[in-house]
Amino acid sequence: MSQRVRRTVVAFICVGAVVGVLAPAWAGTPITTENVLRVVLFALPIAGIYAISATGLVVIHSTTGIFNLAQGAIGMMCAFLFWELSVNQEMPRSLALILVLFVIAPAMGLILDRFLMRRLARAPLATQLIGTVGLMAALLGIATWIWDPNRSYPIAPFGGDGGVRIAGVLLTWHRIITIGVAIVVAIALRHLMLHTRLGVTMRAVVDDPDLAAMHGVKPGRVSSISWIIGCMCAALAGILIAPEIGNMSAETLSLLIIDSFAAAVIGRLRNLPMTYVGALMVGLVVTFSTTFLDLGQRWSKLPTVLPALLLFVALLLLPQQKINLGRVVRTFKMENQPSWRSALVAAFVLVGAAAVAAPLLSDVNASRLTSGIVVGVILLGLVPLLGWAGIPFFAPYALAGVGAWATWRFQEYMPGVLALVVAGAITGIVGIIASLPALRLRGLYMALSSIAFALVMTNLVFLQPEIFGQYRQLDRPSIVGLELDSPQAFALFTTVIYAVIALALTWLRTSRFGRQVVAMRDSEAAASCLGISLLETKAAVFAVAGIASGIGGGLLALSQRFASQEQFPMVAGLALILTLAIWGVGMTSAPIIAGLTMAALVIITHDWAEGGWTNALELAGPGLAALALVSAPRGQIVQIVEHAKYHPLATVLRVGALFAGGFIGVRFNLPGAVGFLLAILLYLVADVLGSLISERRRRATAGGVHGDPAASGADGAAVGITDPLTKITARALDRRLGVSNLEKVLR
Amino acid sequence: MTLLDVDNVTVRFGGLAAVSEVSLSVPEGIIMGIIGPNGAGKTTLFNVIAGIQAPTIGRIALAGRDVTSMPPHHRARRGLARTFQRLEVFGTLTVRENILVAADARRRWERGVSPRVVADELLERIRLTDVAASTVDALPTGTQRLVELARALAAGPKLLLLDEASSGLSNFDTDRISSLLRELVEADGLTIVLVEHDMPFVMGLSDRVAMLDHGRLVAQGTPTEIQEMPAVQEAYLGVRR
Repeated sequence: MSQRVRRTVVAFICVGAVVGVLAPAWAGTPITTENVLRVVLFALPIAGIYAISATGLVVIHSTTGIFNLAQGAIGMMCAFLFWELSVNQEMPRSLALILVLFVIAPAMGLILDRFLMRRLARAPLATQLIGTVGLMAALLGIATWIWDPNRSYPIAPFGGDGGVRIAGVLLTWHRIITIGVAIVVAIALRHLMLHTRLGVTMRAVVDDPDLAAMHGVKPGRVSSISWIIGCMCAALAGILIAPEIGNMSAETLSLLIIDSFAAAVIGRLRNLPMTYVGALMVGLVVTFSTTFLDLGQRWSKLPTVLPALLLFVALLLLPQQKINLGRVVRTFKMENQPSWRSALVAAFVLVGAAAVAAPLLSDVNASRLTSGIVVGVILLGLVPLLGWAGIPFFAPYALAGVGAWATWRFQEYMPGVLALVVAGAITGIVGIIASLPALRLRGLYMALSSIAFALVMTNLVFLQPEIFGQYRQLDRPSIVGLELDSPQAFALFTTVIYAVIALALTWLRTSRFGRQVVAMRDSEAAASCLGISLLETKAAVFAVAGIASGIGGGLLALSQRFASQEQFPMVAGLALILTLAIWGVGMTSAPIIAGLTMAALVIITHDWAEGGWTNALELAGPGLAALALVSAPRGQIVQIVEHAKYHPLATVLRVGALFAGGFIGVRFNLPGAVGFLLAILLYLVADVLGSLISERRRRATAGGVHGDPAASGADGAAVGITDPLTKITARALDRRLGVSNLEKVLR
Repeated sequence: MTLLDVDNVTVRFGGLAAVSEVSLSVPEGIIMGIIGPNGAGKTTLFNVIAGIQAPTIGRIALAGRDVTSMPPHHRARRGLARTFQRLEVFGTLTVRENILVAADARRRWERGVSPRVVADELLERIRLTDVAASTVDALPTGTQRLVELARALAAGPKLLLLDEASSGLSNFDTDRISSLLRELVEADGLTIVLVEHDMPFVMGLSDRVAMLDHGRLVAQGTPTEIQEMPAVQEAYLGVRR
């Protein structure tokens, strides 16, 4: 299909959808000059804020290559800091403003650049994206920790309550200021880019970073300045929008970024004037819908997802991304593929352990265990997507929600377990539909479209009266007379399902299909030139993902005995992805560990002191931990396994300590949190002990020549060594390179 | 019979014509060399033939059938395979798996193929048996090139496009590849189009040679004819004063 035909088709579908929604929802507000003027006047300040925020995105992305998904969260943080200084600490407003805008925001940019982003810039795209999502989650978590979300944080509009009346429409001073600031930012940036030495340097880096570096540009300096500008833009946008939303909450502010994504994508992520046009379009569409439409129950949330829909359309209208030739970023081997037999053994051990442990658990703990495993099943779906195919799909809950709905829907017609299978199949089909953008979009654009997909599903589709409406009740099934009503039995049931799906995935990965998927990830060009259809392969991967996540979603609904939209929020979905990434996206063992990690965080949150920092843990924990991906992009499981190969004793000690802590906790009926603390404490002690012992043994055997190869694994990758460094190869390398201690060089 | 027909192909990137008005036909069962200085449009022409780059104007026909609007994988199913100048190996898979992927895919359009047998045969033939279980990313560039060749052959092509097959190879390997390619053409009836910088290699191996310069086809003929053409000497040695 030619470009023009495709664009026309997309345009027609969009217009059709718009008319389909508009016709019944038309509020009957007459289209008069005054009303149109009103829309424009309302849209302008909103557009200004989006434009400022999107400008920050574009500046950072075009100079450093990192798309900062945390842009909104940074703005949120700055807005809260402004509230803290100006309201809580009663500082003069202007002083607080100057402090936040010109001291705190630039400092944030500088720190982020120095300690995080510069290292991320060299990482594979998936790691970059997960890194910035981690930052977003961390900031969100920290903000909810410091500023209790149950209180309100009013920021008075700038310029007071007055304003200017234009044709009967009151334009507040705050909005006039907003429009002015947006214009000033645009002019200032244009001047900076076109007429200053710094701007020329920055543009040179955009065009060709290597060439620019050869001509004496310091890329580090440019990257710092971009981050400073980006964070200042974020802060401006955050502070300007805060007074406009009635109840400032960390999450709303962080998610406003989706609105600027659309603007940035319309600007193709590098064109600033087009970014402003995009921002204006988003602003106009949103105000139009709130002015002229009478959105009833069904579409009441439409204005909140409109920017996401626009983003989606903008992404689909981008010119087809060509198959990349020449691999720029080295691919990482993301997984250690277990043999079929060891996977089978692991599955039996898992089920056996659950069978032994479940009856011993209290009802509450059994439910918590179940929730962890259910999350694991949902995340299993992401293993083929993120791990094998390398497709950045960030909407696990969107698929899980479909599974929950289908389980509820088919429960009346068939036995519950069968309904679960049907739910998997239906979600598989939805997965294929969700794969359609992936056929055109790659990398960053794919990630953005999946976030838009997640938002539309959660905030629009799941709310429909035909889907969840308010709430659906589910009954737990029984299998051949075996009741699953007790939490213990259900925990075992979910574990069995996890084991079965994990085994199926392991088999699939070692099959022809698995090889084909990994081949496609490593080189799309080569795969398609060998007769492999990228379209079919991607669709199949999405179908597999849909089946696993769909069954997971069904289990989630069954475990809680109800299904509703609130179970599948987008941000929590991002936290799931982070937790999975921390452990490693390519392995079928990672999801259950990730799920149990989430469960552990929930237990700490609930068992520890009320409120306070623990509330923030479920988001901030995965967020902060995900930042560690910078040094270990393959995930912790690989690190631990490799470490275990070289230091078996230390590993045995560590694992033993964890179990001992857990056992003491359960045996003496300590509160969950204390048990965790004990386990972690013992683990740390064992860690120190283990490394002391292995250090001594290493000195004794190797004469202190070679250090811990596993620990330097990530750094080894930096100089092109992907396989674990054995003593023999390290020695050979030492000899060739003429150095006496490779490990020291690597550090 | 003509296996590949390039008809008046032009590729423009913005104002730059990377390939302009190139027409070329490759009869079955020969080795055709394409030479030309850097930036002459050789790789772009390959990308057009393989379907990775759509031509601005012009047509590509494979065994008499117009494939201009076909995606790469459909062309592969009609017997086209290629290697890449900038390597496109499946880096995280082993050498054997790289070959298996191609042989597996081939089962879709060819009955009675046993991927394992194909892989073992090729490993033996290209002498990759020793590294069969190694991850490809860990191998040197020359060996990776051989992996690409083995993988392309595993797809069972009628027409093989080799983009700089000899760069990064030792003299020993180059000779080996030379005789292997000859053998493939003579015994298995393969047709090969290769883009090359190594003049002795391409002149010694090819039945016909075409030369591109600034995106245009400037000469075509047997290796001896080509070497004597003033246009060729000009492009490579500069204008004689």
